[in-house]
Amino acid sequence: MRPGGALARIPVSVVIAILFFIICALLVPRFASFGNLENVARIAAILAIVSCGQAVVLILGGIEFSFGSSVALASVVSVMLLPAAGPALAFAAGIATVVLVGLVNATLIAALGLPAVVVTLGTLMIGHGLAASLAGGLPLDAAASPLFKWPAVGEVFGVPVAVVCAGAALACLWFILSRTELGRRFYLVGANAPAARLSGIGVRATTFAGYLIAGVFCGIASVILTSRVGSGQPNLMSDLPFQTIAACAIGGIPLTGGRGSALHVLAGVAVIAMLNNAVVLLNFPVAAQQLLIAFVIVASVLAQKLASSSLAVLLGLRWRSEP
Amino acid sequence: MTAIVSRLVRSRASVAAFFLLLVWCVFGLVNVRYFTLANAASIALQMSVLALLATGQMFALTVRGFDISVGAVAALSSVVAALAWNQFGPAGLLAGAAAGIAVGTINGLLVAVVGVQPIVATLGTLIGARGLSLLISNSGQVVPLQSPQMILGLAYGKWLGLAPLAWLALACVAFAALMLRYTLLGRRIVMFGSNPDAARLVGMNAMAVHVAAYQITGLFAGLAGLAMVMRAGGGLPTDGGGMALQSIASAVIGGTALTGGIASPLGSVLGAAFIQSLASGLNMSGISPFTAEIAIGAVIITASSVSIAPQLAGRLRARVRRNRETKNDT
Amino acid sequence: MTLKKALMAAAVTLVAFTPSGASAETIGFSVPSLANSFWVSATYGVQKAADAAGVELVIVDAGGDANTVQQLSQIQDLIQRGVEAMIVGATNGESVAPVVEQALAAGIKVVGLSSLPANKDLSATVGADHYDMGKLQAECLGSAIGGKGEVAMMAGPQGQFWSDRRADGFRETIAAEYPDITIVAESRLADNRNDALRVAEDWTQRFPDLAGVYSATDDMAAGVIGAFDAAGKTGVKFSASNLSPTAQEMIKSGKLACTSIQKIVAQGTAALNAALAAARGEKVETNVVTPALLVAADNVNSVDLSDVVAPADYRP
Repeated sequence: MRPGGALARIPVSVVIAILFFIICALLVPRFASFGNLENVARIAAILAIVSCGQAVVLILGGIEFSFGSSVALASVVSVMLLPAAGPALAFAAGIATVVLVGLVNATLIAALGLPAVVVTLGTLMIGHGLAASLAGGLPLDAAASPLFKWPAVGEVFGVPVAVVCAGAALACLWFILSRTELGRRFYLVGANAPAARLSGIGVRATTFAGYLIAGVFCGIASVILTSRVGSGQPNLMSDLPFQTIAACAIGGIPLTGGRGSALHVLAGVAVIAMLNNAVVLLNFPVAAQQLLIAFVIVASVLAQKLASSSLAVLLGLRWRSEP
Repeated sequence: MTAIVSRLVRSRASVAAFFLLLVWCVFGLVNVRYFTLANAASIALQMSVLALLATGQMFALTVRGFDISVGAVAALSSVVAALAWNQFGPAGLLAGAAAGIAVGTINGLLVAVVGVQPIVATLGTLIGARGLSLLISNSGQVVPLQSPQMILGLAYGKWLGLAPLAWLALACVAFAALMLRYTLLGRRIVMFGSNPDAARLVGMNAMAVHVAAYQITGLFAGLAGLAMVMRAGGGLPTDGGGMALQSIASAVIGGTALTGGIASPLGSVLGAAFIQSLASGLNMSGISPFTAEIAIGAVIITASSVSIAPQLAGRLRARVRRNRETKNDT
Repeated sequence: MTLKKALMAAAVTLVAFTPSGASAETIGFSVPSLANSFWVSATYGVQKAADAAGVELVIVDAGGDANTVQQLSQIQDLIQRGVEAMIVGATNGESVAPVVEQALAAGIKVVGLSSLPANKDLSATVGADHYDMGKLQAECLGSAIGGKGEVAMMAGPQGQFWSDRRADGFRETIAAEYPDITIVAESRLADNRNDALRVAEDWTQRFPDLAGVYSATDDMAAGVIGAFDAAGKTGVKFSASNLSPTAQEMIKSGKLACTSIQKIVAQGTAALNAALAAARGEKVETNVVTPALLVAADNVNSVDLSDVVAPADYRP
């Protein structure tokens, strides 16, 4: 049993994240320098925003594989519209694109009841094909303008814009999940959809809302990402869905309901971002990097299981997930 | 004859069969050369990797999970097999299959014993397998086979019209089908998938069955890796990227439900054949590769929606009934 | 609809869709990855020559330098299509050799472009001197940073012929001609702009005294330059290879010191003409090697790009 009281409510993943930070700061040269941490924070911010979306979908019992290609499509669309419409409208178009993809996913999965794996795979392919057709396969450069670059390099009261957005996204996620009826429904539908339906919850509407919200989160992240690379790229971050799943996994999103899910996402994202940074600073060969990341994922999940197993036994629950 | 046809029509694999036929007719009209036995043989060979992966994936789906590591495991197995071949000769190929089973065991233990979500467990093994492939292959270089003549003959020769590899792949799938229907383990896997709690209550060692399902998925991924070696004459450490999701699509289109408890080996093969036929048809037609990708994505969504149409219809009927009942109440 | 009418309709559709004219050849082109500026330009060259000769071109894209199995399937599709000749840019030369043998056995003529299949009976090989491209980068970067200091290499994917050769050319030339320059890092992780950006960001922290960075392609260089710009590190010199519109801009604005290029479009054109000649049984020049060129601020406006790179609005 873990020590009781307030200490017991700290998620295991937060402990892991803190430990990880300490280990990296001690062992990895230049890790703890301000410049480096700022870099890490910027990248982590983008991942955090999208992970908020992935977290909602995972809690619902679904999955989202199309984030990578919708972000890519958004970047291409934004850059193509940039000369005609200016940065603000171009970014808005990018967000609209991602939300549109989210809408398509939501409709197919919630309204038609198609399996999430297959639908998001299909939209992944369609999104990538569209992005590549529009851009001709290669990145499209954006004319460099200060406004276009602002999301990536700008600061608000000294804090990078990306980090501010991430903070806002996590706050929104926390609010939705713990303070709204919709959030509670996400957990109920995810835990046992038939039971939820029997108790009168609109499962379809809830699922629809979940995928749509995920699309909105992803759309905001796409703006920052497009600004960061300064171009429309058909192959932008194709591993984004896997990174977000890993972040949510390491973070230990509690699928049986509970508070503090946003904290879990933050912890998971922090670990992944620090991990990616540390392996480059240590100049690990690619093979070692992959093995280390896999090890950390599995180890984190095992640690969480061990920590919560006593709790689960106590509560008489033993959740099993369905894809 | 009619008995077989009607059985096929009513079977789970009917949707996949229908789409396969549709694709053949459409592309056959566009290009006569598509509708030939030679092309059929070619597609049979091309789909061998995907068919093996789809059959393996079917086992994971049957127990209400899925396995996104199969592509990376196939790549790892191909490298292990190639290295072992170079050291020990043809017997080395078994090492490839063994590698697949090993990773499958890890997946099974994580999901069944520890209780990790399948997506997370298999994501971890995916990354780990990729890392391992890079490690043992000298940072991602293809591992060429020494004296590959014999094994290449399996992929590019001809036994009764099809490449030997195609026959071997079909044999493996047939073995899976027989196993599911006629062995205790096979039937238990299906039983476990349709109702895990009931299975436990009935007294079977549910955990072992659950693990076994993932082991078989891993085995088939290993076999797919061997197929890759035969086609490419070497181990391919970095290949296999999109194959996992395609294998899920193949299995789903073939009638295996994501909710578990249903396994259709014939459907998985037909699903794989359908996807490969679609891809080949688009390749042969010369349309832009990007447009082809859009088309494949859209078709996958459409085909799988048809596949689960019976379930959708059932749900729709239930909803209509509920609405009518609530209306009568007011 | 009666059976007869249905058959008539089918026959009409067949006639409408099959390519008419017995003399029109079909040439196949198997590309490893159209996400790569090299292959986009090569495809432009091939397409240009195909249009000029009035032959049909069937392009198949493996979708990535690592997607060997996909390419094997696609070459099989080209065989089934019955192309008279095909051009192959291999994901891996050894692995595609068996399926190319099949094509040759079926009477199809095969021309290797840039990344060559390992077969002996190719009708022609067309390529650039990748080693030379790396060498030119070394000479340019070496003198740009004054002959001494630390440099890093964003060297592109491992195991690909072109990136390995360019990296070798760079490394060996630096060792031979610039003994006071040390190569402090060589990254084989990144193969696109975004990944290069990420790695380069970490380099700005790891190597505060870095003087120059080699990039295997201009796309990666864009990522590297972006990272160093954001970190405020002026004074670092960058070199690259290939000359997409991105690179042209970077040279003109002075961010990129130089880029070594090959006449990609010319290679594509040469490959198609060789394939066509082989299909028609005419004489073929068996080995075409286009020399590398160095482009810097002083000649970026005057160099003739029509042979080098595809126009900015070209869509394969």
